[in-house]
Amino acid sequence: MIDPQTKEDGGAATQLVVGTSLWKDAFRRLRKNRAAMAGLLVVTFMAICALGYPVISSSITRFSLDEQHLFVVPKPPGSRSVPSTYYKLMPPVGPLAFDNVDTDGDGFISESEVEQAYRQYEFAQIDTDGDGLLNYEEYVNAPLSLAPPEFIPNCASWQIAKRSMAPPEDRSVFECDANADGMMEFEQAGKLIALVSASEARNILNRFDGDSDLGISKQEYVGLPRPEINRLGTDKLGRDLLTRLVFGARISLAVGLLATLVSLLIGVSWGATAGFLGGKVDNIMMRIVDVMYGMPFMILIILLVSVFGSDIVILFVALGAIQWLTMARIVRGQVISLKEQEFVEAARCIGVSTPGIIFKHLIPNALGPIIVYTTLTVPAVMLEEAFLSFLGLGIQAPLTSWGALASEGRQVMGTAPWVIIASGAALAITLMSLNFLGDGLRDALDPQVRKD
Amino acid sequence: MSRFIIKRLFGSVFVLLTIVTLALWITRMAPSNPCLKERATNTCGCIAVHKLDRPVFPVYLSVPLEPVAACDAWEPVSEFSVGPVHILTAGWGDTQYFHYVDQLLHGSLGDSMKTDRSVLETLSSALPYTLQLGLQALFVALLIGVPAGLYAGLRQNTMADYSTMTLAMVGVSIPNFVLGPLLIMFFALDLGWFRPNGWDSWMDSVLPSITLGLYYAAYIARLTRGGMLEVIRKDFIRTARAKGLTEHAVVITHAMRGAILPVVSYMGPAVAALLAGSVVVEEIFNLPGVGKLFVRAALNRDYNMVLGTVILYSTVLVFLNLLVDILYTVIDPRVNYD
Repeated sequence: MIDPQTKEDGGAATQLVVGTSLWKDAFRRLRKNRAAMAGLLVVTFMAICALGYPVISSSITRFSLDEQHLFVVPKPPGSRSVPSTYYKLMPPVGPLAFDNVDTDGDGFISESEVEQAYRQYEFAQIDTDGDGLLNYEEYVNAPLSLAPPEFIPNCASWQIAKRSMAPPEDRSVFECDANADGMMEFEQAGKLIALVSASEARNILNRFDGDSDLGISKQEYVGLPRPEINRLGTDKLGRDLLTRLVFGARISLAVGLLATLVSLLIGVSWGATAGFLGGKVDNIMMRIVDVMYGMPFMILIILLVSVFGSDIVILFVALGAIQWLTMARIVRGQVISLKEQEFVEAARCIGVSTPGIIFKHLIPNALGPIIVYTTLTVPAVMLEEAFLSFLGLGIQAPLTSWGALASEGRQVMGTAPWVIIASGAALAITLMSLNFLGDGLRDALDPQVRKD
Repeated sequence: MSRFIIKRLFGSVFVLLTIVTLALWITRMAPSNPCLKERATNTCGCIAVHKLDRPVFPVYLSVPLEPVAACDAWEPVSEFSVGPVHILTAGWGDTQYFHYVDQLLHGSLGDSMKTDRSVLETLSSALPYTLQLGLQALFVALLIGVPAGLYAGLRQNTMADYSTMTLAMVGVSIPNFVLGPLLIMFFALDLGWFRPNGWDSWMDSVLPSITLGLYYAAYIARLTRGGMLEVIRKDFIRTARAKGLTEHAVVITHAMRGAILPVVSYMGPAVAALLAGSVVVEEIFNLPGVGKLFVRAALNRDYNMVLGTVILYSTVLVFLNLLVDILYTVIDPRVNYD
């Protein structure tokens, strides 16, 4: 295809006539397709997140995959928890200076003093105007790092209090506001705040308590781990959802890609061989494909993994093994139309072997449809993996995938809707991006619609 | 035509036999003995009834399950060694495979390994739910998908086309196990219009049918639009317009037939996917259908039940595929299988 790029270059008559290759042309088309480019962008972003999981976990979310913060579960998005592995220390100054934390002045910081220090920290965070009192606005906008109601005598939990909250003029619904002045002092609100449970406080204590005397002495005290935001909340075991989602991206994308690779290998070899050899071999090979088309493979896979247990390798081999049929048909059709052309004749004349012709000459020329179908296979496989994981038959703990997260989210959708919303959104957005990308690639590479 | 149907019927029986063989082999190779746990009191009886101590095929290397010490072990007919491989043989009539296929030919799927009911009985009480769910979902899919596809196809490259197709893409990309809980959260828990789970009345089947059908609606919309674009430029459409037919008549009586063809050929795979999809939807909405039975049986290691479900699913699928092929010739007179 010759594209005399003269118009774009201001009509310079001396311009050379430059040819564009099929691929360049296709890429130009793809770039014009906004939905496909957005899809490409999103997929790239997801892939970067998946690859960067260790960095994201250790320095952005600062939670590890399995650490549980069980005091208040599940926590909604925006709450805080104290990470136990990738924490950053808050320097021992101001309210966290040793003498301020050691409230009873015995020279040691005890478990309950650690708890109290975190209460005060969280109170200061919620108290945005810093007047030491919580007003209605601060109360309503507070991130919920709060103790479950059974820990707070005579005072409902934030959630309940919020839900029954009347308009600002009726301040009496401040259920924890003992003196009913419309403001909550730390003494009242502190009871509600539970950033760390007693056992978490003990763990933090033990981490810094070098001489195991159940107290942090002034020499041992270097500050306390900084609470971090659970940006997407936590799941029912108090694990940071964002961290798990990023890890899930890793597994979901990996299974999608590897299973697609398996299907690509089988489908391309099968289709190319059948198409090239033709005759009886073709007939038998394609009849096998026809027969397999009518089989309920998903059901057989459920059977397989429920009997033998699911291993991630079994999973992507099995998923790949059921996705190759269409690929085989597409490649066969391409090869049949290509094999009569002169370049194949020429290759045969110079003595290239049959596998050589198939893999070096025919398949590269059939690459367009192969790429398009591969792009569309990835979301299909990801969906199947998610489907199996959702039934509890796919990815098993300690690994997790978007499907497994959605499954957990479904169990707690009444109390923690953010789990299924976040994991479902991640899955749906990625699938949609891959589908848009695949459609865009098809429009860009398919010669039938290449006329614009 | 009748030659084609007979040929396909033979083919279908062959496919079914392959699936039965494969599924039987998978379930009988299972590493754990389904008679051991719950039925500890009558392990030997359970093993004898289900013939679990027998080999699956007449030539074998070892019986699939570890023999239970307290029970009488099955004796092989002959054994010999080829190099390091120790090969055992048994008569055809003694194998589990023969036993199961024989049972199948007599119209029985055997007894459940965990409950006292027969597999056939359990399946037939669950099947109506799944059938109704599947049919309603298909109805939703066609009712939304075909008109949406026609609408978009007739207005190619307009805003209406783009927005319909974007919506269809969204529909294709939301997995039913995400859509289901979202629908429950909104329509059942928040608005209280439906019950979140269970199936007592027709109302209870509304949300499941939509959950299952929406994906196919979106997919069918895409297919119909593609079919419409292909057909609308054909000469016979121009002829129909030229002889003065109304646009309505052109679309409904002439273009529709061609536009719907990709949808008809999609019905085969769609039914297969609907069956798998109903497994998840029944799980989400807690419906007493075959899918729920299947998952529960698979997790419980009730292998006869699992096998029965697989056979049921495969039979439905294989014969619906046949039906779709026949339907194809009815709709498109150009297709001739002979």
